[in-house]
Amino acid sequence: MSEEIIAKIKQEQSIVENAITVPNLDIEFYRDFLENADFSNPCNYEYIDVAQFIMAYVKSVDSSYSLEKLKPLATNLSYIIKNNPAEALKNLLETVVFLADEEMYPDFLKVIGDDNEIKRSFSLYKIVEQNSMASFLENGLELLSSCHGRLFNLVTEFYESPEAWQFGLSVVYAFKEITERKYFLEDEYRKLKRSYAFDDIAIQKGIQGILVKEFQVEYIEKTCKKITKYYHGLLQKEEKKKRALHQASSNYQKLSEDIKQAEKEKEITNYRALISKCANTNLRCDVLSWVYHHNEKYYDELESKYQVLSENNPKNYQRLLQQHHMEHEVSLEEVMRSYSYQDLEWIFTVLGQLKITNPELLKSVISTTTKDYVEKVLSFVNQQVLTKKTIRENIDIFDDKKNIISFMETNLSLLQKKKIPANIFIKNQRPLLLSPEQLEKNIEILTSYDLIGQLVTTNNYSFLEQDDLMQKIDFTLELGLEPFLEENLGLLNYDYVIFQRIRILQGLNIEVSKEELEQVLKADRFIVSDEEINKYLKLVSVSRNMLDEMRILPEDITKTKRCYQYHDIYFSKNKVDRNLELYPEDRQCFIKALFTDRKITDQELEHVFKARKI
Amino acid sequence: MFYKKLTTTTDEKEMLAILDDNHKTSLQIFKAIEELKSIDLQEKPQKKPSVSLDATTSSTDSVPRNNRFEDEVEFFMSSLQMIPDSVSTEELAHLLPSRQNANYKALLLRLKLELQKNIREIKEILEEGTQGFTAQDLYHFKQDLLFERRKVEVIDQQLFTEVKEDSPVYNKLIFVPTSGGSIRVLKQLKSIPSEYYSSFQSLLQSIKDGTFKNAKRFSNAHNKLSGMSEVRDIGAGTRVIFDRLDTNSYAIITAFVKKTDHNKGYLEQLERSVGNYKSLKPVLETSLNNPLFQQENEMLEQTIYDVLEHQEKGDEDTCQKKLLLKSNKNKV
Repeated sequence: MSEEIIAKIKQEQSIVENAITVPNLDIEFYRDFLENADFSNPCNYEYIDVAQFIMAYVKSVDSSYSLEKLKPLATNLSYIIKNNPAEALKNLLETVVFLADEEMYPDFLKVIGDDNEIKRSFSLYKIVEQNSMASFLENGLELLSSCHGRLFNLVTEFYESPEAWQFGLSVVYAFKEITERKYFLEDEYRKLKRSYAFDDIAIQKGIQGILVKEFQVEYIEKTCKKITKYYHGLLQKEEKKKRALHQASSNYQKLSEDIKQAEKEKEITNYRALISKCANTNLRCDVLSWVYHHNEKYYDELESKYQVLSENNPKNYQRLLQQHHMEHEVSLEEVMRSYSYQDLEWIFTVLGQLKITNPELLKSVISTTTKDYVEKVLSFVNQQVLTKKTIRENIDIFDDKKNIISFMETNLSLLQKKKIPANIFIKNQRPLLLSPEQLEKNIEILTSYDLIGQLVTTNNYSFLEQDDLMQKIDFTLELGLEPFLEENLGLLNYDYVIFQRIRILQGLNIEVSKEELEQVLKADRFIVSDEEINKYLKLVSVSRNMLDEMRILPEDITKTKRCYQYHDIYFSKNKVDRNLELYPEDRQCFIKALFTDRKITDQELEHVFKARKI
Repeated sequence: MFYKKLTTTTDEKEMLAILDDNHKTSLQIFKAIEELKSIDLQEKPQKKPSVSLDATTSSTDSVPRNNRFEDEVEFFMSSLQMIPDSVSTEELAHLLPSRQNANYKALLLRLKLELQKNIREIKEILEEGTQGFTAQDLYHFKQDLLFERRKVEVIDQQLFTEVKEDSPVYNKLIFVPTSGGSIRVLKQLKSIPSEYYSSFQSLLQSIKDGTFKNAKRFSNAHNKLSGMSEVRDIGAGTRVIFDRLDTNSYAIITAFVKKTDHNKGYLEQLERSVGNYKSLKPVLETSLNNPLFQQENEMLEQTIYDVLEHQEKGDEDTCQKKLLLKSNKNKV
């Protein structure tokens, strides 16, 4: 958010505004000095503050000086000047010039560099001695040595900035000299005043005129104009500075507003314009950094969006579907709605590993499954609970709404409970995927017919899905196919109408061997079409009268493991037992139960009657 | 990933450069996103139209196998139904499919099944009661019942009796003349390309040896053709139309190559041929016992076989000459 950067801007702005109100001490100094300094009237030179003049003049010539730095020296110098006659000042000045000379200065530095005051004094004395021709030296050095040696700096400063000091000190000397002359003239006039009635103003004017003539005051005035000029320069600079500060403050204000506005944009692009209002380099970097972090969020969003779109590019989906020849099989929009590209690609990979490549099958999977469900199915394959072949042959296992996997889990528990090994179905695991109720019911039925052990005789367990398995078993038993059933329980997969072929052949007195049975049942063609087959069979229900006529005795009935047999007519034991429950127990009922819900062919009936006659 | 990162030591110039670069990059990514969003889903690739059926494919070459079997059943059943009950067991056996017939056993079983059904139905009629039937009707039904049973017995004999030797079947072929006196089949063979000759030869042979290749009887739906039969070479499209004159004599009415089921011209021609035959049939039946007639037909048969074997465009003159030569030889 922008609060932090705006706070920084505000802080900078207040610094700037404070800077506007901060007085310029230099300007104040010069203003104060110039207000009181009158260079045009030599009579007022005595009122000029020498220290201030020195500071003002030297700085105006050499602006590298600060007033603070000049003040001590100027103060000390002022003290000397005030308390010594002009002559002494002259000596001082000449001494300074002498010592600041190129040839003398190094030696001088050595002398004053010595901390030993006595040695220093002696050295200075030696200088005097060595330069006895310089009559000013002794007095000059004496004066320089006063103020605890602090005036020696004057030599250094003179050496460093001779122009500033030479003229400055000259003017100061001129002030002194002129002032002394003024005093003299004032005394003289005072004396004259005793005798003559001169008014003070006239006297002053007169003195002024004399001084102007004697001392080239215009030259002094001209020299001192440098101070004024410098002061005006300061004023201009200050004005400029203040304007700049005002502008800067206004810029910062604008910058704060602009930043608040810019923050509303997702991406800030006018960052150059923003920082153009910022004078402070560090603040400019802070603003740019803020812009960077603001834009970063937008860029991250853009990048994610691009990655998602490029991954889930419709063209990628199309390409993937085309790779699997599915471009005509499914709707692209639906696929894109249901799966991310990555998920879809993974699902196709898994299906490829399971060797499911047919576009129709792929379509049925993609249209009905989810990634999570595919993972679930795959986990059972990896745990070797399900084979890949089973998956391929039972493609609806992927349908998460059908949830066949849960059936499988229940059926495995059922088989375990019934002590039926699950690997009995290893070659065809379809039974594991049946509805548990169906599977349990049909397993019970097989058990009741003692056929559960016959599961191993076949790999085709479609009969376990039949709702009428019991009736089918009865039917095949009634056809006399019990021995065949024991050897191949898969016979139960044939439709009733196919079994009628056996009945037809029986009616034609054709015996069917075990080897021929499956050929007959499997054949595409029979001697008559399956649709017409019932036309050639006449099945009759055995009436009470017929039963009486047949005069069947229980002793006439033979038994097999699962059947009763009367001549060539077979009866399912389980069915007869069920029928018996309909009748009270007596001898007659058994025969009746045999023929309840049992139709026989006219040929079988004829055969029975023929046998009775015999 | 696409954007440049700031570091703590980055100066203003570098920061500006980074911001500029990132802005440029964002514009590029934005453009790419817009392009991705605006991608028109390509029109579903058009499914290539399935190759249209070749219009020239003849529909007559695709008679399903079940239909052919049913045609054969009907042919033999009709033969069995049309004979009088005075016919001998041998003659009955002669009407059954030849052992050389590819569907021999299946045909026999089916014929037996059909006969059993007939027997059942007759018995039902007799069991239901005699109201509405005269004594003669009842007698007729009983005779029918007996005859059907006899047929079943003959079939059972074929089915359950081991045959040591196959006794060859030998049927006589009687070639029907046109109203102008020429032999229709011979005339027609002239106008048929010779590459079909071997097929015709096999069809005639199947009538001769009793295998009756893909035999079919014309039903009552064909008013003018009903009662006639044909043997067929399904692959070649060749047909020979024939009719049973007696137990082992068959009138060969016409022969042609059938290109389409819906050729009105072909049907009309066939109807004319059959109509012509029907008018001649009584004469042919009475001529069966005439040795000269038999001889002539044998000669004709030979001629036709010669034509079919050697692909000669034989004609009647040749046939007549051969007959005359033989006759002279005999005289000599």
